[in-house]
Amino acid sequence: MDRERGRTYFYIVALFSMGILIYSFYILYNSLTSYQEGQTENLYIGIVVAIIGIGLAFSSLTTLRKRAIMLKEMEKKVLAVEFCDKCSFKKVRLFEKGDYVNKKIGKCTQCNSELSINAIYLEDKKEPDKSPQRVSTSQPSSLTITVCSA
Amino acid sequence: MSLNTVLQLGLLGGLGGEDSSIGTVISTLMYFSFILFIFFGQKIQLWTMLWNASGSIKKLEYMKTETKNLTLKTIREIGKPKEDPASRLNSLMEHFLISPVDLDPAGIVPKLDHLLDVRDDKFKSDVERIAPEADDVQVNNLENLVEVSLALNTIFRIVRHFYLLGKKTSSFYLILQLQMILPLVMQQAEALIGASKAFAKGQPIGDGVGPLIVSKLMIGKRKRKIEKDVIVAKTKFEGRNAIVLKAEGPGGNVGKPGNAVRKIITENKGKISMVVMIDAALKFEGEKTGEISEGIGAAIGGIGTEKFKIEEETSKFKIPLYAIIIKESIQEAITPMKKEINDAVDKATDKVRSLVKENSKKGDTIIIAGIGNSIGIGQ
Repeated sequence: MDRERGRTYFYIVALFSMGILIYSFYILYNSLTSYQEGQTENLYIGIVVAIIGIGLAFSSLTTLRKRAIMLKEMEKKVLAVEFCDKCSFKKVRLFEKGDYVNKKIGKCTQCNSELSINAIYLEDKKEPDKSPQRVSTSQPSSLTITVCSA
Repeated sequence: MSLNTVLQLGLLGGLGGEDSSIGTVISTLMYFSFILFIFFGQKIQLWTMLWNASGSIKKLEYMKTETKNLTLKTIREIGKPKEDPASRLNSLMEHFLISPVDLDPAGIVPKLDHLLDVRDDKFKSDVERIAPEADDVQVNNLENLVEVSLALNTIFRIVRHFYLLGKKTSSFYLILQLQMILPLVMQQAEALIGASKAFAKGQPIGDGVGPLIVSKLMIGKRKRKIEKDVIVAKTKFEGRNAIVLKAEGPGGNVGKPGNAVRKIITENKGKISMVVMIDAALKFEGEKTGEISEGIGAAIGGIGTEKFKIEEETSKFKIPLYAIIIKESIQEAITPMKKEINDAVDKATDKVRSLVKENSKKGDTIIIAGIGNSIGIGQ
């Protein structure tokens, strides 16, 4: 609910800032037109108003961008890597409460030897592109990636 | 002159019109604001800074309340207390430690160490009392979570104190100092929010990279508890007899590695060829997360008591002390471990390997200590 409200607020502020930006450019354009018609005073007023408007809009948009980056960071998920030392079977899944590194979690489905949690880390969004290994997604809803290099 | 006024003038005047009275109004306002800034410039600046600080205080208060609510929720979920833990948590969040007198600094470290022990024990027993159903690992995690709430509460109280003091005295310089450090304070507070989530779920944090590296060396070896919350194991490492140690996991613990190193050296009658300490260290801006550096000395943070013990013991027996650090920011150190940090584990192990090969002989006994918080890292 709070997240939804935050998103609405985010879009309202972004739209308002864009409106101010467009209007500032319109004022600038108008003042240039009046200058061509010989009204020098309007040019100065227009420039001052447009600069203030553009400055405020840019400052607001920059703040929003920072907030968006922060929200994106907060939405990152923590992953747990199940690994078999014998056959190098690897399964990446979402972290569950009670998981810890070196926790023995049963038998490996490939070679029946001990399977344990090898690593727990924060999701790296670029990760799938970087990996040269064969990756197959068995449970897309729970973000499970299985890699078998053996 | 607000933007609205200017825009309204622009709208009403049409900008293209020939009404010169707008120009007169604007230039009068310009002169007026110029005079205003000459006489009240500093006051206006003070108001702006106070306004900014008040925004940050509201944010800090929100963070503090959110963390407290998360702590309460976790205590209720895990600890299943019969009474409401809120009042007890409130008193824990105001907990403090009075440092020993330093007029005569000789012998201050054991005094400080004793006070820290008392504080830790008291904190742990209080957490156990408010969460009676929690097991040892959960108690350690809850203890860390309460510590985060306490830290956020302290930050909030200090910032609010200086804000109100500055407002009361209208002291420009007091508010200026607050304004100058606020971005860094806010960064720390935001990192603490991330830490609270990690502690509530028991996820490894960036600071745990030292214990993580050592835990890999402990796999399949017999382990024993050597000191309060410290686990050691003996292993063969590049032909050397390595005694590896880390804080006991997977609960949130840093242990007392100083005492552990001291005990190992005493048990081995000082016959240790080298001590290698692996820890997360703060990177400078511009440096990459997960970069590894090698150096000399005791790589351990905290208040300094553990560092003192290690330095004292190694210098007594003239044992070389080496440090391997994994670079990360303060935020990365207390929030869930980033992939770059996790990826540094193998590289750091290789670095330790080459360090050991270069500085000791086969058959020597060495100590490898993984320093940091063991939350989410077993052994």
